[in-house]
Amino acid sequence: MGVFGEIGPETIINAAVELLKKEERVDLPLSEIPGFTRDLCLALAADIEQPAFTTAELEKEITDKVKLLFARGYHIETLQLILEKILDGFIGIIQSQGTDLQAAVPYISTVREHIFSGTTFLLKTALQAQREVIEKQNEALMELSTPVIPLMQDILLLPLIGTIDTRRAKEIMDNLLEGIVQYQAEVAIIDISGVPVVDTQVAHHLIKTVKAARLLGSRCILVGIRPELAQTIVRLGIDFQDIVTKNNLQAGLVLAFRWLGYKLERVERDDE
Amino acid sequence: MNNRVPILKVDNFWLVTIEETLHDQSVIEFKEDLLHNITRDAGAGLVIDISALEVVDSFVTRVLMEISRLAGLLGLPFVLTGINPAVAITLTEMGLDLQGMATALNLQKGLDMLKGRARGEPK
Amino acid sequence: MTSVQTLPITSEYDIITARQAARELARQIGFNTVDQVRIATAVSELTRNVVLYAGSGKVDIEAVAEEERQGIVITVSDRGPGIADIELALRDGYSTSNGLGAGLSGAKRLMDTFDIESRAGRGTTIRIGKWKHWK
Repeated sequence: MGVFGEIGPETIINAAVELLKKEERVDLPLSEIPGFTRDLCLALAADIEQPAFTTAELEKEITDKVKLLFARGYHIETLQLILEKILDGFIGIIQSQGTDLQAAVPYISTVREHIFSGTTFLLKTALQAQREVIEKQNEALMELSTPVIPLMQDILLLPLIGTIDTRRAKEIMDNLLEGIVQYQAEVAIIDISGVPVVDTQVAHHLIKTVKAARLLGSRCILVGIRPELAQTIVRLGIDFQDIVTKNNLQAGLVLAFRWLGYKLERVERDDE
Repeated sequence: MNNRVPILKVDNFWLVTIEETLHDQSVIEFKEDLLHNITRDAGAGLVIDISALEVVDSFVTRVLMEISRLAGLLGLPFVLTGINPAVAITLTEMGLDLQGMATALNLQKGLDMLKGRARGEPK
Repeated sequence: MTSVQTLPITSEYDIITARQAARELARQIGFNTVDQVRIATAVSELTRNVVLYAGSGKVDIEAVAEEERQGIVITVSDRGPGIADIELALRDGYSTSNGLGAGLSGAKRLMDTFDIESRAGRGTTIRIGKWKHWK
């Protein structure tokens, strides 16, 4: 027997849906309310011995549904409201049956407890879903912000723009090394002219990236170190000795050409 | 896992492709086989490709360093090729940066490097 | 919520078994390739130390899920001679068996957490962990 005792879940679902129809705060389409009310009601009432939402299948089912709602832009408040209305509907039914409310108090409080743990569960799920969305957005942003460009045969360009924190520095390293292997690039030019601040941590990540690239069999040229940054590097006492640097992208490219044996030549054009 | 690592000689170059994860004893056997071969007949160069290795720890690194040092003593140019990105990061973080060892992206590039060196090209 | 997988370490063959098991679990937890290799390499270092110095021991590999973070915890233990001077053993380049000495310090650098307990004559227990989300 479920948490609602003698009263069948269908009766409670119907009562709750009627109450919800009168609510203005519901942002779900009317057609979806009965479905959700039913799911939540069954999850609540599954087992009186256990707190609500503890059956593995139910838990997963509800979690997935909540996540789906989130993805569609609905709010957790609606689900909370449905739970509230299930409780209201339940109390309403007891009253209409003429049951002595005083005697029903322990019974009602059990249901209330279940509703409460259901709400907690929904909130947790919602937070988790939100976190996952943020995580995904971060990842997308990260990919956008560290492009690896195959400039030409054997040469990769990694233009870095914006602030680099430790996490992004790691991402940059992974992307660059994977790019090197993917394009079998012998030279990688890292342009940091668009990076406003480089602290000790980030500098160490850059040095690590260059060392790891060397292990792959590729050489890095660091270009675009601005005067302020150069001063920071000197002041912090970071050892950039093993790293090849050039003051701008053009100079870096010229060096890469020299390493690879390329020669840049302007030819006469006769077509114009 | 008990197979010996094949050591080939092509065009006077020693070529080794480590195809699978080796346990310690196989690594040592491989090193001894290789040292035996190159001390007898140095050849023009040595390429070891480790692109199949998913994990390279300090033990394997130490053996590679020994091979590198011995090749150096014999005047045998040596290139290590095919280190995969995750391994490169791991080695760097452990502070094992294979100092003094030449590396290339793949076996072909390693071989080209040695041939260029044999012809006296700067690289 | 945890599940522990215990593997014995009695020979060098077990080094590979242990690190492959750790890597597989790390993959299941959702660590990226680089982290999987970091974890596998750290296990390789620690289990090799067991084979070299203690002869035998065991490794416990455990997926840990907490409210705010998920991760892997690996405990390598032996009843070998123990480490007399832990600080010295953790120093870069230190080794008593003619290695590069990257074993302990390397494993420490690859992981997020590293705890060591050792008593001379009693053995050594090293617990390493890596987390997916630091919150």
